[in-house]
Amino acid sequence: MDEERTAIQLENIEKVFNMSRTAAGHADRAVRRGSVVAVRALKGVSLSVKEGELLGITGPSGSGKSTLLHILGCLLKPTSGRYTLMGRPVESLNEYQLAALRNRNFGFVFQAFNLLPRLSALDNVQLPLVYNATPPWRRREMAREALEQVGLSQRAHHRPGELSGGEQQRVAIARALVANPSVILADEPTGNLDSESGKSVLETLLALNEKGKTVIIVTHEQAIVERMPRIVKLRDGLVTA
Amino acid sequence: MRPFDGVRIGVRSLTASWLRSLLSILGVVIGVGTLVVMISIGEGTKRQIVRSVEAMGSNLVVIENSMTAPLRRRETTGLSLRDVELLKEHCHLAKAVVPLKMLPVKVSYGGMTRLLVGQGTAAELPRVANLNVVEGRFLCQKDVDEFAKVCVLGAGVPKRLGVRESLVNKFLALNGQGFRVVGILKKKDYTKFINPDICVFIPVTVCQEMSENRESLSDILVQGVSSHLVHRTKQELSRLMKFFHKGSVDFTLWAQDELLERQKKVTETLQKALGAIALIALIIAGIGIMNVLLASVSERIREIGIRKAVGASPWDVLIQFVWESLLLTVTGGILGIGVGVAAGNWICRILTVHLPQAEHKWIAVTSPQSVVVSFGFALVTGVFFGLYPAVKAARLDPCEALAYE
Repeated sequence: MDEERTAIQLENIEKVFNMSRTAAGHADRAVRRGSVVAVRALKGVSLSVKEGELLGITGPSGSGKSTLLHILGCLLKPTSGRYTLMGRPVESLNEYQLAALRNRNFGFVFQAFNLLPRLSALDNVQLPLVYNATPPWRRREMAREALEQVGLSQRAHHRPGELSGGEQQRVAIARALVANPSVILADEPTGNLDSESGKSVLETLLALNEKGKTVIIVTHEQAIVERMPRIVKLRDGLVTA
Repeated sequence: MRPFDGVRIGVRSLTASWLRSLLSILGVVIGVGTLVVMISIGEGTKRQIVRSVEAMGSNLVVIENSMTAPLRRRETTGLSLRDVELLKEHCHLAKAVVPLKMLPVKVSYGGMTRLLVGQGTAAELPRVANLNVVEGRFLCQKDVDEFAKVCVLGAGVPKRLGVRESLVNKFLALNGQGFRVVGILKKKDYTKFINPDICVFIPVTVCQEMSENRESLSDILVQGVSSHLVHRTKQELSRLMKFFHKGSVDFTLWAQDELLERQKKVTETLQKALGAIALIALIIAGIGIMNVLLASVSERIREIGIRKAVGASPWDVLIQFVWESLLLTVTGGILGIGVGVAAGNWICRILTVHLPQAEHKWIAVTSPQSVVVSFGFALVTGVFFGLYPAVKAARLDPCEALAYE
């Protein structure tokens, strides 16, 4: 059955950051090597995510949640371990292959929205399509559809500065789904929103999951955790539950 | 990413900080403009030289007073009227021998005074230098022999003196001495030795009297009997001149083709010097572009992170910044060509008015090559200086870029 197919498989993933001493916050996880400190953000994480699954990743600040999400989204390469996406090993891919993979397979929703302030909502949503050679007329069409899905078709020509936080985050969600990726990765999507807007954004993400998208949400908000059918808890770079 | 998207994103980014972009474009305009001016004036000068030397006829040999000749001795006076007489008598290959003595003169008429070029010469000059009299007559042998205070004006002289009516038989002052105008020349742009349009021709004997260095002539023009024998004529002249000057080589002989070659070399050297200045200007413009793009990269680190997160490859990011650099240089290049063409013509007009002593009229010729070369240099500069910021942007780590505050 389709639901049972594995979308993402992580095996013993480790991530070490080499940082200057002043930048390294958590001394207990740091191994000092001269003036550079090696920080082990992930210490062997194994995880499997099925296609169409809704997964919550939670844990205290500095536990490695965002690092794990960035590795899942191919924004970061793991230091060691195996990462398989749709049955294809990812860790050996080069920058260009990873860029194409991000474009096709992932949609990102960030806590800080990360919209380009000079572009309208419509142009922001079109952004992923610019990099997969979709013709301009088709791009606009697809971006309008995505904005409609998040209920913002009336605000297509507004710039991010002219939108509320909740609206901005919904534009970011429209951008995440416009290229029809299989996985939506959301990093604290309601962190910068009031409870009403947060609720609306969460509902939008849950609705996308119901339509078959794999949705992975990093959060430490209890209200979101309670809505997640499956939770992965991280502490000090390790999966604890 | 499609090229159209690259241009669109580039335009949007450059217009967002328009003043900075404008200043950067200004640098390119100056660089390209200088290059166009340099090439077009050089080209114009070359064409003028070729045209005028060709117009003089190929049977002409010029004996030039060689002031810097190493063998010049104190007892020699350089070229003199005695040489002219001796050559007329002894050089059988010479059809005509004409003296030329240049003297800066203050010409005054009706309250207007202008500094122009006085040329002391003889009656044969119009025939040798292809000059035509449009009104009155040219100098005659009698004028030379009798030290007559008469003069013939170049076509442009009356205009410079602010006179519209005929000046023939009128009196004007040359360096404070009264001269009667006996003729006006037809307009002619250039000969190697003189720009007749802005010259005042007086008998060579009178010119010698007015000059501090009385004996010495500037040049002697020798018209050979045939253009086929021009080199033999030159050899003959050289032999005779050495003999007249007791072995002293205080003169230089030029045939038409050598003149052409020499003038071309001078022009080329000038062009190279100006070209170096233009290139320096372009390099400075390039540094300006690099500065703008580096600032742009620093300001847009987060944007680069977002673009990478949604699927932009390092190449997409690199090409986007190269597009921005190209947009700056293409805009600057197009404007620079326009400015260069206008400035070239303007500079030539100024030079022609304010440097009347110059041997020729200044013209700027904008050839397709000069446009292509200037524009090409601008593009190369843009790509070269835009590449470093572009590579810097392309190498940014997406996670670090996204976390950038």
